[in-house]
Amino acid sequence: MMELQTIRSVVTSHPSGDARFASLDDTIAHYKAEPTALIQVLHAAQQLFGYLSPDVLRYIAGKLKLPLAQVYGVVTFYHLFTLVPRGKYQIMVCRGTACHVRGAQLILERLSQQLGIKEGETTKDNLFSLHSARCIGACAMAPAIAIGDDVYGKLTPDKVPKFCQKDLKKYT
Amino acid sequence: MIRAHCLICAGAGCISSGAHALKEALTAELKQRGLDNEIRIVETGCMGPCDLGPVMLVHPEGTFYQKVTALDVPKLVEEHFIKGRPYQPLLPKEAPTGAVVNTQRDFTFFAKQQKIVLENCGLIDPENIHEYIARDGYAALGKVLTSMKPEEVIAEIKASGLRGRGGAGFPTGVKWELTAKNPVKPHYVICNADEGDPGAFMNRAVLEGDPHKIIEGMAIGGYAMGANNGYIYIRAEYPLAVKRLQIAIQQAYELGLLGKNLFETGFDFDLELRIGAGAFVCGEETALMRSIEGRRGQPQPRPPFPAQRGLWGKPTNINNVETWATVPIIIRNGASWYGQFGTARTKGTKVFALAGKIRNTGLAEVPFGTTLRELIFDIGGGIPNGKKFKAVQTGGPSGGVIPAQYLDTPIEYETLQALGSIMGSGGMVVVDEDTCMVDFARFFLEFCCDESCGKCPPCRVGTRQLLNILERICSGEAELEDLDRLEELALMVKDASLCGLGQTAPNPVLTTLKYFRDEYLAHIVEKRCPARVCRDLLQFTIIEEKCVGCSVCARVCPVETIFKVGGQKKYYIVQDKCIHCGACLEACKFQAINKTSEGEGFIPPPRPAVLELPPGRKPTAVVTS
Ligand SMILES: Cc1cc2nc3c(=O)[nH]c(=O)nc-3n(C[C@H](O)[C@H](O)[C@H](O)COP(=O)(O)O)c2cc1C
Ligand code: FES
Repeated sequence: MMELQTIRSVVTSHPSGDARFASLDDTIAHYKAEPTALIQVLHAAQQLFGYLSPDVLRYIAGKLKLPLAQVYGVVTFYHLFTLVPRGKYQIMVCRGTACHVRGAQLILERLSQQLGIKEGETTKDNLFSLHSARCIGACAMAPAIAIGDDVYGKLTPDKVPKFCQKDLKKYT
Repeated sequence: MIRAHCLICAGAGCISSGAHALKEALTAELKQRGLDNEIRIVETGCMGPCDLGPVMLVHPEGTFYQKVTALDVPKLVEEHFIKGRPYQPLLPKEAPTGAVVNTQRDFTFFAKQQKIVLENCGLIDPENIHEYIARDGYAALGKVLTSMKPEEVIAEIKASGLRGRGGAGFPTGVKWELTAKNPVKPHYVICNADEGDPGAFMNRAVLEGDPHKIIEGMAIGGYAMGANNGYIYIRAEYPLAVKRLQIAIQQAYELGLLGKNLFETGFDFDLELRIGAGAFVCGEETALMRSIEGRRGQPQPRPPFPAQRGLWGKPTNINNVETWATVPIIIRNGASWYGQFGTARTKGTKVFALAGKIRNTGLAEVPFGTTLRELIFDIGGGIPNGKKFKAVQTGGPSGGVIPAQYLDTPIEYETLQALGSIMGSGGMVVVDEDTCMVDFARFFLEFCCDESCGKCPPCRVGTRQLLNILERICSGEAELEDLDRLEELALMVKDASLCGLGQTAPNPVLTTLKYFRDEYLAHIVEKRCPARVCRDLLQFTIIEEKCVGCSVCARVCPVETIFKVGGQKKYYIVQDKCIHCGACLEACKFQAINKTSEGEGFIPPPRPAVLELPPGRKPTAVVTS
């Protein structure tokens, strides 16, 4: 606890006073502001802010004493980090091998049609964005999609309209 | 008095098919009937037959129920717990014969397996360390710390013949010794839980179903190799596994099974989680270490191997989840016990993930030496919907396809390699006659091209060029010379790439070329896709006699190229605008849509003299053309 306190006192908080930065500071302190914790800190930041804005990246770079270019390099290397805002809920359509051979492409197309957005886009109400994933580890339930921690398996193209009308209503 | 246990599978598959709702309903029902003091509900890790989920096992009888929904609960409780007889409608059936199976033991899916790594998965509550301890958990750690020297531990692992389960099959004991003997300090141990191969989910089951086994294995490894710090690098795509690991690590700390002075022997061992961020190449060991260090996950040339210069430049040992999980079992039962399973050159068991066009999708653990046929047809139940087996893809994007004539091959690292594929981490994706092998190869190349870290040109540029050629073949634009180019380039990328990703990326191309050359030729010469998958080579037409004029096809067509035949209750597809998406085919309830790949000789049905707009469609410029 002592350690945590001292680290907190040397770093200044974000000028905006946005409470989410204080949360981010907690994560940074948990990792003792070690530059090697960059990826874990980015995860926390994306969780808090929904995406990684230049402002957030600059803030993290400052806190971890890393060049901004290096932070940017890491962010762009990994698929899960995003520099642009996404929907509140991200619909991840698995396009891994098992899902591919069981027709994932068609699921993606029908979802895109139903939601009226293309892959990578966000619905007008900012609720959903549509993405494809590599493999969500639900291969036995292929074709599968994930929304946050929820996994929906054994989809077929003709189940998609009902899925959109029923299951997606849970997410508000 | 507890008289029965209801084990409900809470693996990711069963959760997606409703395991939580089942648990709630069962809890309420038992309570309502006043049975909650007699029957205990336990949420376990993955039991294996994910396709049948949600599944539930009732002890002591061992009755196995499948596809149990919340709605089934009242009837099931009434029959099983009040009347004392199995509830017939939910018992599983053997795939080929349809015979009803009463208990888990009698079910071929389980009977043919040898569960060693998965001994606790589906049996204990993974969020309760005491259940693990009750199954002899942490006894192996106690044994090594209190009665074995580090060298003796390594000797035991060497004698067991354990080989790495992450893909390459390197002897684990030998690898441990390299790190142990390195005088540079400190040493680190890492668990590779990145499981990036699409189609593979074996590690996930252990992480979610028996997390303490991994922790115990790593602590034993730490002792043997003189490492006081370990890291588990886990992919972010497995949130449930992350959560269960966090709980397990915390519980182990609370009981003094991690941390300082374990078993009062002066040995300290700390364990931390590192969460990945979605990069396949980070499963490669050198890239993984870069990622733990918070950097871009770019692989480094080896040597130096991690045992020489690993994490933060220090000697490091990386093993796969399954490798670590096997360690406590070997220590507990002895190397010679372990050696009774498997073959002369490959000891023990391996967990395989069965997915794709196979009836019993899920997880199965079998001894090495089991044949592909036993795994796919006996345990896996064969191919559903009366289709024919075409090939099995092993080893993920780094592996290759194995056709039907090799189904009797016993599974070992070497045998699969001899067929041009690899064991990889244990993913097996089965494909049937509806899968186009050229498209399949294209799929893997697209994956590798996308996942290439970009550091070395043979991989970065080579995979792109291979993909270009495959795309041309799939769209019917390739010529015969392209096949030679494809093969030549594939071999070049294999030879010249820096890390395993590029070195193995051409495998799917090379094996499909070797075993399914006729499919490549059909695409190139006849402009035909025999499996009717490659969209550019398809034709969709309406079978006039079967069409009842319901207009569904016209309404789902995204490019509005289906029209009503003038004056008739029939529909007609105008070919030039058709994008071959297949929406009409799925929507038609009367099997009136024909999907063909006839090549250049295709002649569409004669165009009716008058085409009308289908009901509800607004006129556009193209209508009268
Ligand atoms: C591109 C690539 C991806 C890999 N992905 C994984 C993985 O997801 N999990 C894993 O355990 N090993 C993976 N490996 C193998 C590791 O580099 C390493 O060999 C393994 O973790 C060693 O553990 P073992 O000796 O227990 O098999 C991958 C290798 C390559 C080249
Ligand atoms: S391939 Fe889709 S979940 Fe694994």
